[in-house]
Amino acid sequence: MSMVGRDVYDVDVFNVEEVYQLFELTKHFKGILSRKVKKVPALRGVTVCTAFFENSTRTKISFDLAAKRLGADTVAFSASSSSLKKGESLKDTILTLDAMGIDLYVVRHSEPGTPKFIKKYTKAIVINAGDGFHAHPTQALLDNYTIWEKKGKIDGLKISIVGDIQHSRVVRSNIKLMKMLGAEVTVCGPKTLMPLEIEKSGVKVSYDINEAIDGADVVMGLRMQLERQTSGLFPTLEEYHKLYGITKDRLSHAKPDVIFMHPGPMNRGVEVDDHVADFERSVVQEQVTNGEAIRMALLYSVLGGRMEE
Amino acid sequence: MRYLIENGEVLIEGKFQRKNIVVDGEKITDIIENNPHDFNGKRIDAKGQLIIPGLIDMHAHLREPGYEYKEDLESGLKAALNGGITTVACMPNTRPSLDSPAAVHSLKEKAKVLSLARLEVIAAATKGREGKELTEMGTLAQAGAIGFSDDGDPIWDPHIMRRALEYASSFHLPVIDHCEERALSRDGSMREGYYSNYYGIYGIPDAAESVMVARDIDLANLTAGWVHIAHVSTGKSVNHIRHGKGKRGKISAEVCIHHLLFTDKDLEDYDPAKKLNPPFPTKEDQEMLLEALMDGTIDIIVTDHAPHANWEKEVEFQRAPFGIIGLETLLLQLFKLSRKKTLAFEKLLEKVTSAPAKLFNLAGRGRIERHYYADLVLFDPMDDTTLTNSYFRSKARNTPYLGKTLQGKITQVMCGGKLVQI
Repeated sequence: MSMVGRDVYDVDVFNVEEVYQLFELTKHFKGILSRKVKKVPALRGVTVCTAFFENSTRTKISFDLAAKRLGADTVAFSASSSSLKKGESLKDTILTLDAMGIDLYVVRHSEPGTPKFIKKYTKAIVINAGDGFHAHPTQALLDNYTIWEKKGKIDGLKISIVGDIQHSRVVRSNIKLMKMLGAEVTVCGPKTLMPLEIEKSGVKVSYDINEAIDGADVVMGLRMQLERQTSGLFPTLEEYHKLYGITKDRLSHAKPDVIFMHPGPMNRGVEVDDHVADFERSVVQEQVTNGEAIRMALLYSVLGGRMEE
Repeated sequence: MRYLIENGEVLIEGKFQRKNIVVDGEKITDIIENNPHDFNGKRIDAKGQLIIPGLIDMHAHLREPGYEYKEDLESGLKAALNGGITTVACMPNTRPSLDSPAAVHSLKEKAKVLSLARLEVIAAATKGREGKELTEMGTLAQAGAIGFSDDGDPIWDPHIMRRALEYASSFHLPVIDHCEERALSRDGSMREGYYSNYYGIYGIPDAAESVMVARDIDLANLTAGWVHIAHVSTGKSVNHIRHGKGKRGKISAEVCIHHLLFTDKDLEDYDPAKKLNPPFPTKEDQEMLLEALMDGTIDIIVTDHAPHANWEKEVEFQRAPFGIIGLETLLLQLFKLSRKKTLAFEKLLEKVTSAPAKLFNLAGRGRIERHYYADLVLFDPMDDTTLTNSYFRSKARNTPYLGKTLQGKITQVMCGGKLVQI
């Protein structure tokens, strides 16, 4: 089925076949990104608005570049420079933006469900670029694409995700997509940072990092925020690192060809040690490049871009 | 005015029976089998209609005084009648709160003048609903209050709760507690569990309710007081109530209609109109609530009618206030519930008619019987109702049913022998 016009609230708006279609397209666009002239006129005349109601640098730049490389016009809306601070409601903000003729919104917001909320007030396509702890579908797509590229498959792989599971939209979308594509997922972290009934999502839960990493094809670390400690969810960052830090020693119990992933930004000395951060099979930078390519593939697919130049 | 309501199926003693009702003045004066040839008064043909006692809702927020932009007494009481509710009890979380005999008295007087649905008032249990000092419960009772509650907020301090139960019980009146341990519910917006995780919404654990239910039951049994647990929403609370009944204290409980029809899964659209406190239960807990309702552990069904302005609700889910309106959908929802869960409609109706009347000693109401008030609802089960914007008499529209069509239609409402025209 055509993906044109599809709103992307989370990864579950796609079926497996469509995900692999996106991956093939991503491969194509990644080729374009390695050219000298990194631009195709596939989305000329289309206006993309990056509406970021929460601070973000990487995701916003990534979407902005992806749209520009396809020849779309982009406008940026950010909360700091917006009238939201003057008390305008999100509903009115969207109605105003919409009157300017936007074809697609890329939305980042601290509240879950905001992309669906925005869709109530616009006919434009809505892509979720992260809503609270709910979802971050393009991050999950780029993570899975990276795994697919490195390992040649996802089905049957053992993937371990370590860290603050509770407060991570990256994990929520990744679990959905990895399960969809047939991976065996283990999540690991202190119980205070583990959502209630997470096991019902079809993942294995471990509170022992050695057990979680043992025999893994992929190990993914997550950013640990200092405020989790101050709100009493674990005693100290030192103890966290001692119990759940991804170290070179611990990673040696994974498969010999294990890859290390992290959605960034990394806290060295907290969730990872320096060795792992600079590990030769770390794909952290590659994730960023792939992020741009997959966002191109996604924009191209939902906006119905044309390939002929 | 005299009426003969004939050929309808009348709810008497828990069964729909073909009877004719004679109304004279504000009361039912006779229930007869035959259709008299001569009748000195107006005849109402209720063929094909169910005739139900006027519904009694013991938990509604009518917002007056202080929040008239959400609802006021007049719009609230009109909404009640529009939904077939002829007696409605309002909660005291107004501004200022209903914590003084004068406030209770003036609200009751105003309702009398309006002459719409009958108003009962639940007064604040503590001054200003601050949970610190008891209100003048004796004088409030004399002014007409039928119970005490800080609803919207729990009575957090266990010692104050103990004293409230002791003091209120000398007037044979209940303390109605909104059980919610705020240290556990924190910033939550829906029930914590698989779906809160899936939707990425901060969760409220079921224990936030049940730990306080357990406390209240123990305190009621300590003091031989009467605690009425408001809007029970968890299986754990049901178990506490079931085990707590039949001892020294009097334990009663209510369930909100929305908790019987929606579950946590239904929040997939992040519709702020579905945001409720306590939040929608899990499917398993909903089954336990229904079972508790059927075996009498839960005594009554209420609406917890909680009107809000559109601008308050049309915001991001977690930022929206809690609450759903219910006065104008209750009867249709009960009918839907009976069909969905194949529960006897008669049994569900008991929970909004005779059961609350008996529990709260509302004389002459809740039954279709000689000498009872002619508070009646004519309901056509074959027709349906589309809940358009203009259907509602409430000022608010915060309901997931807005624009939807539900089976059944209220065709006429009589309150105190007067046909309702609103």
